[in-house]
Amino acid sequence: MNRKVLLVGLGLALPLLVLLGFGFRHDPQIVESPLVGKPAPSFRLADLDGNIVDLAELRGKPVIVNFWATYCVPCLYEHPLFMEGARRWQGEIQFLGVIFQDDPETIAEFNIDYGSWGPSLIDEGGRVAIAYGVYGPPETFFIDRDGVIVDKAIGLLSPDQLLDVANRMLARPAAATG
Amino acid sequence: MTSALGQGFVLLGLIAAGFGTAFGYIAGVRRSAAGLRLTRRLALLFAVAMVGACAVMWYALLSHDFSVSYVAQVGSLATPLHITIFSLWSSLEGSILFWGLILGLYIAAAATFQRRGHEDYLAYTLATLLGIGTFFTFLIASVADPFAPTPPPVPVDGPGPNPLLQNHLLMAIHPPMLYLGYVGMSVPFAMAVAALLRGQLGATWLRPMRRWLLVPTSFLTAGIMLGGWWSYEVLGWGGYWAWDPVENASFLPWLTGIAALHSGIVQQRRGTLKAWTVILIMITFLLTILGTFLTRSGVVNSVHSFTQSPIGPVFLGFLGLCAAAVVVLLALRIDTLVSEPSNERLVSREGAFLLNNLLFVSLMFTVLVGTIYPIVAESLRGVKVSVGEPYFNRMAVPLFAGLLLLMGVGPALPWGGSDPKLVRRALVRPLPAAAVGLAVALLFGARSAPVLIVSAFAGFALWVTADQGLRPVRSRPRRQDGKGPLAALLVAPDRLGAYVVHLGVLITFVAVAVSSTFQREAESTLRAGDTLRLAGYEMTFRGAERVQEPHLIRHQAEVEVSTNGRSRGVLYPSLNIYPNQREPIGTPAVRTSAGHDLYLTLMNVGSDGSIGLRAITTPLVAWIWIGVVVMCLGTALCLIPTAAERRATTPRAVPDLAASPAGGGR
Amino acid sequence: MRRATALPGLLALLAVLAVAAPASAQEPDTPPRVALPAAEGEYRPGLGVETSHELGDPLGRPLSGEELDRAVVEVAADIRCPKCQALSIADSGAASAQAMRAEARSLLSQGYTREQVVGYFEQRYGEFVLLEPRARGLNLIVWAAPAGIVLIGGLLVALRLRQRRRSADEDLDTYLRQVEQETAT
Repeated sequence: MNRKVLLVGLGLALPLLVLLGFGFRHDPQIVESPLVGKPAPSFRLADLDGNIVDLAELRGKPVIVNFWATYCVPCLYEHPLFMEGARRWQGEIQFLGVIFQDDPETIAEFNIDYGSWGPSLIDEGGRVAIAYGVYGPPETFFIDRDGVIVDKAIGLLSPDQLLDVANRMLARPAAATG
Repeated sequence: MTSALGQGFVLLGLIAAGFGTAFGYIAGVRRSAAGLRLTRRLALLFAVAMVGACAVMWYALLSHDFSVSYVAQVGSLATPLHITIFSLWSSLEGSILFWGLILGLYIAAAATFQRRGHEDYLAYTLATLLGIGTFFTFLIASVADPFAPTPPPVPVDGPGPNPLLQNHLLMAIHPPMLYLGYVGMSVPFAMAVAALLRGQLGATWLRPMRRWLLVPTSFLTAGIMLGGWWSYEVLGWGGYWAWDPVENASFLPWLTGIAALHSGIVQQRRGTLKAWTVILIMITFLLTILGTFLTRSGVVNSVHSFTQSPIGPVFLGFLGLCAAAVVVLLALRIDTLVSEPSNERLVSREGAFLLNNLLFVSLMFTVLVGTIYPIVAESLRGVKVSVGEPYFNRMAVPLFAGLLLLMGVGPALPWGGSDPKLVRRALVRPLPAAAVGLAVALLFGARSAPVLIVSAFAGFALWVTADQGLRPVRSRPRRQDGKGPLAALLVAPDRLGAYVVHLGVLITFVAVAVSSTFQREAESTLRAGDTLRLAGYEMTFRGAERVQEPHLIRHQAEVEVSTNGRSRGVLYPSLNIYPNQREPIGTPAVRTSAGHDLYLTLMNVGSDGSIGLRAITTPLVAWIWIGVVVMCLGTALCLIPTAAERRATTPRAVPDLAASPAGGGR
Repeated sequence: MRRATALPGLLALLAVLAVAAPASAQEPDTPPRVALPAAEGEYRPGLGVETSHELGDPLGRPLSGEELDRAVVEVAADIRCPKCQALSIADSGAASAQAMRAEARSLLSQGYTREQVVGYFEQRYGEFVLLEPRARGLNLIVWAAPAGIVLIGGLLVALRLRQRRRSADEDLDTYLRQVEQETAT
């Protein structure tokens, strides 16, 4: 029995195997956003009708920003969820949709067919998506009354998560702004 | 019905492999000729079962039998015939079945061609191979069953294979080549296991082993090259190698496989490095399993990943089992492989081989660490990081430059290297060639240090390669049977082949260095009639059309290419939009010439009829592929039996004299 | 906590400034607003996203022409395209990669340094977006490994050569002695 070979072999193989085993616990598709807990990047965008939406003016009210597109299948699954959310928290939570690399005309047609749950904002040049570090649609950012991103969902948003984060945001009053 | 037939064949394979493993080991221990005969029959039966299973699957695919789950998953009535044939390996379950087929063919080949002259080892070799076969058939019979009946209702049509894979014919040959490389590494591995179990390692082991290592290494080379070529022709980013985790995974066993080929030469000539060669072969095999695991488990972000499936953990278990077996076997038996005493100097052929192995193994470790570090970071820091092209280029380029230097210096140096005058002469003579290389690079306007260094090294290596490769012609005895220079070269085709391979490596090496340094590109939004200029080319956009095809919408731009006002033809870069695909997939249009490629990609098509066009000129790209073809030709030469081997009558039942450590024999 | 409450105030202030004043009429001590890249479709002044307060002052000089092109390629080669696999935004033709290249170009042309631009992307997308991990903390493993392996391997080769030399000398000695004995008899 050559102990040196045994020890070196195990020393190389074991950590590697353990690490690869660990690898299963993570979804390679999900990247944690460094923006959670930080102030939401402010933006001023026009919706399909030319109305200007300024995030800063919505201070004091929780905001849910959803980056979406019509070619993205999970976004379509999310649509009824946001319709229901916008109805339930009307006046309490502001829902904003930011169009991610899609044609405004296609979005407008979609909105006519399926209804809309909030302004569909045109992100010229995709700069807002970059400021929010969006990897791909759908991504949803939850912004509290103080304009801080409290949570972010990547991919299909579950009703439970929406309910949970919305209630959390509504329960907390705004801190004194100064 | 089809399902049951396919599953029957897989089950037959599982039984043959399982019993073959057991009988093979028993026959090995008892040195029983009858046991070996039985093992060989079981090995052939396993191959027959795998061929049968694949034939059934092909039949199901071609007859659109959607009651078979794999056909329902990848088949479709609209898919063209040739793509239906290739779709056997287009998805996870089918690719593992295909893997089983290749393993079956390799096992049958080993059982047939190694029947004579390798008897001491064959029982253990086949037993180990069938052990691997047991795992794969078990996988096919359980978690990755492509023959599972589709739950009712059986669909009348399917979705067809992944659109990206339908785009180019290269995708049809790239995976089989890689599999032939990956799976083939099982054979030298099994031989290494046999050598350890026998506790001896002689000429009747080394020669067949080198051959069985050469074949899969060569397939791997071709597979990696085809993957790069496919990436270049289809993905539209203008490059051929992105250091993607799965590309790296195919690169790892290639590196150690080549290291083992070289250490095998030292073993052949000097009788040293026996244990090391065995270790390298074992690492190579483990890396092929690791690579398969990385591709199929979804633990890394990669363009090649199959969807996540229960196969990942099973493969990890197999990898762990193999690693444990290898480590224990090595620890128990490695001391039985005694190298012959031999003096070694750093500045000698042996020394160059040692450094060659050092660099190849370092390169492998570097790529391995870079590839799995994201998993480390995520496990320990909880943060996702990327390790990509800039890192790998920075780390790998110096190591590759070192290998290029050794490719020149090594073959020039004499074995033993005990005569300093001889050594000096060998190193000085190619220096003018290095100067020529440098001058050529300067002439073409290269000013960056890495390119100049590579050019000088390449000049040196080219001279030495030609000098060594043609040596038999120069040193052939005059007027000997009127033999021509070709006959002289073919006395030792393996020697000639080795230098032809080196020549191919040099071609590819220089082409990669030049193409990655002197790439030029321009990008612009064009309206019909607009012209984009780059490196003497004028590219005039004539108009775009929208083509509706059964499974995709294609936007195709017509771009007229001219130089100095003379038309050079029309290129049609296109963008394909598949339903439910997030990003459109571009198909570039490439104009290849010996000097450089003009590469056009369509970036986007505006609603007003304008296009975003990206043009790239890359010098010498075609030579990368040519170099690889030369490497494969060289490998083929290596496989021709040498004159000595042809003369030698195959000894039967003669004890392996060279094998016993005391026997000596260099 | 203090930062979290102070920043929204600053944000609000900047937002008000952005709405109230046209881009040219800003206070001299605030950095210039990031201009919208020239994109197709209608151009609306004042629309877009506020990034300048996070980036701080530009630390370099505004680039233009070929120098700008080169800098954009250099930065882009180090940034991973978010929706591709292993490709940089320099290589990828994906729409989001094009948008990121345009953003890098815009920032570099305003005088932000390469490091500032890379830092901006890292701040928004996380460390994942860097194709070359930063050499600090645990990441040092990946930076030290190659040199470490070459060193350890080189040491092993050197040891082997020494050992071989010694044992070969011994072998030669025994051989010579044997020859002497045999020739003597």
